[in-house]
Amino acid sequence: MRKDVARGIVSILVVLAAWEILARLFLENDLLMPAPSGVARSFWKLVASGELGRHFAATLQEFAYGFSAACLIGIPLGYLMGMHKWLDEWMEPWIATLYSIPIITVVPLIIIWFGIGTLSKVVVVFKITIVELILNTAAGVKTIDPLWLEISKSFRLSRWQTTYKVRLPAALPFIVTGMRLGVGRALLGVIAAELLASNAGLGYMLRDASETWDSPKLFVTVVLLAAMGIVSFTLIKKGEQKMAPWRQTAEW
Amino acid sequence: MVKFYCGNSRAINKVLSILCGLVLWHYLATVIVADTAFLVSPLAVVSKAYEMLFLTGELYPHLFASSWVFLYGYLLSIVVGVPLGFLMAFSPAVRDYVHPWMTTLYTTPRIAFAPVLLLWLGIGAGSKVAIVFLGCVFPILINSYYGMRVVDREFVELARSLRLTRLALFRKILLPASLPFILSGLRLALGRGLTGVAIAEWFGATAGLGYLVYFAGQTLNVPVLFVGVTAFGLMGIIGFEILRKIEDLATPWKTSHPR
Amino acid sequence: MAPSILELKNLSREVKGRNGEPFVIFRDINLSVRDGEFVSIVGPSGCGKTTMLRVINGLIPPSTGQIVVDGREQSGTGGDLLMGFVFQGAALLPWRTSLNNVLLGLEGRGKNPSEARDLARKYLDLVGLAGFEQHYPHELSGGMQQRVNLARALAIEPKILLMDEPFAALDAQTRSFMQLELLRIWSQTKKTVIFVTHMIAEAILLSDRVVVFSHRPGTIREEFRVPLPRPRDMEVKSDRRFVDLENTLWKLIEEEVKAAGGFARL
Repeated sequence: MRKDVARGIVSILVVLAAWEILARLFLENDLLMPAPSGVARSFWKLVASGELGRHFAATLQEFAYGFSAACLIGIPLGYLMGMHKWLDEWMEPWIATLYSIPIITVVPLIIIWFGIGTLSKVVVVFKITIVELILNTAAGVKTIDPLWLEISKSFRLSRWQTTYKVRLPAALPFIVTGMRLGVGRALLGVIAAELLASNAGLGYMLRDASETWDSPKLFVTVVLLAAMGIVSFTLIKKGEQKMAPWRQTAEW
Repeated sequence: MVKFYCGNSRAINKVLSILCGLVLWHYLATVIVADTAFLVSPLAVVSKAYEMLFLTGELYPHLFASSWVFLYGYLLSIVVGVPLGFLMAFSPAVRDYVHPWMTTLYTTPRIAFAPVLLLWLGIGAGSKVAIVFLGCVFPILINSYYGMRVVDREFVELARSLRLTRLALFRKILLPASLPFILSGLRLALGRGLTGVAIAEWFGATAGLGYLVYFAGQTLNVPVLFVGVTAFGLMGIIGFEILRKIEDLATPWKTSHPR
Repeated sequence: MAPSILELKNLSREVKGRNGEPFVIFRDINLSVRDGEFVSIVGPSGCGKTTMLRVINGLIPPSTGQIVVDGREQSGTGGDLLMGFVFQGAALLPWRTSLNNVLLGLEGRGKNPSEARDLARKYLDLVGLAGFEQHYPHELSGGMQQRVNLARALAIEPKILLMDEPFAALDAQTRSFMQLELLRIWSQTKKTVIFVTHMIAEAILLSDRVVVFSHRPGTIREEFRVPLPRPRDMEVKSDRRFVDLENTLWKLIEEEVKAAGGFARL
């Protein structure tokens, strides 16, 4: 096994063990900090009752709808912005505005507009992801090496062929980067929206657990969200490396 | 005159876009929606902002509360993040042991930690600063680490060839070489920190822009909601410009800004 | 006969190869360089000449052997600053102006700042960069960056100048000018120079002596004294003796390359 991996595992095990021991020895109740074993018990209970599954499915659904809608609209829009300067100039102030406002602050507004049901969360995910996708796709199309376009001209590629064989592949790594950035922020957004107003989803569970002082449940939710974050990040990073191995991607 | 317009077509297009958007927004709010509990005209937002800034002055306590939480969290993450990033760059062991925890904390939606931090630190300033800190520290830490790691190998050889001391190597070569990376980490941290402020002030706060937005949302006070959102946006833009200035002053040898 | 200032005795360097066996980069290097001599080292790519230069400077430790400078054995990067290294990439710190780049080696050595500054200016003048003291590296051309690189190495007033293919990244024309500049600067400073290059003509034009390295593991294949009078200029390249030596050296290196498996393997 590689040394760094071994060290990482050691690090995780040691902290978990210390946590368990400290929680058992010193903490009277598990309000402040439930032991890992308590969290695990609570996890199985929540899984068995189907509560966890229900909330997880709700969040996943909202996320999937919003994300795919953002891809369907954001990528073509970003592509057009990269190709046409006037569109870029007309869109830019608004995209920049959307980008510079912390997403979280818009969530109450979106809930006023779209209600406390699924739709408002889909909109939150959509809004966050589409901004990242538009910006990165446009950047990918704009920063294409002019030499490649000259090559396609010299080989007399048609417009369609140039798009399909040169421009899109060149922009692809940027698009995936946009997706990666979008996933992280959208996950934050959807949880925030659920936390603010909803009746299902992991964000709701977070609020419910903290309002009922159910610490094991709170920690189950936190660990689950951490796992979701790591899995989605790792998957997209892998995809990024596969599609553009020549490009340096974020280490984390 | 014609030439003038051609030369500035970019700026003209932008201004036109903003004007058209604002007019459309006004029309949408006053004619089509016509419900102030749902959407208000930009003019109403401006007049509300004017009122809160110059007539009642009620925006200032919120502005100050948020600024303090932000500044404390941001500075704390610099003080912790930069040295820890350097340490990780110098010691593979530290890096390997810290890495899994960092990945976890970095990729988890931060809002999940908010209730936990509240539980541990109470609803005072501590938990708020901690939430902001958690948002800012990782981009700063990662960029400091990365900046230290990618220092040109020839620079290190140069230092050895000139028999510089370890301290001189750090101070004269490694630190300035990683400065642009640290600064771009600071830039990334800015937006995340503001988001952190908003999250922190949702929970049990009595002041702050995040609280303002949250409260306005609960009471369907759309004009105040827009004022709060705008204030956040402006804070971001101002912070960004300040950082850009610092970047220009601190790295005058750079002709362009790294992303 | 001037006494030798640099003495390499049985110098060798090996590293652990991929399959755990020792991999010899160069071995059995015995070389003696007189004070004020200009010695070039040529050889096929990957023959270890650059590594040897780093070993001489103490940047990399030798596996066996001794490096003796001015009668004293050197080890590591402790000790006095006796050698100036001219890097292949100019290795100029982008956040320092030309003057401050040259000052890097002078700071913190007990010189008072204005004295150090004067010294740095003097060497920037010498390399022909008067008036460019306050320029940042990105404002300088490749040739000018190499001049600063050279001035930085000279400013510490070393006994020996180690030059690692300093003109490799320059275009052919700039390269020729820089060679002439180096001849001028050398004649003015009378420094001992060890110059690593893969260009045979460059080595002959500049040197008193040319040392040919064999292919991996690098050893000294043969040494040649350059029979050309100084001062030299570009016309010397059409001199009969220059052309003869160039041909001899070329054949030798060609043999080495063939022994290594041909050009495609380089």
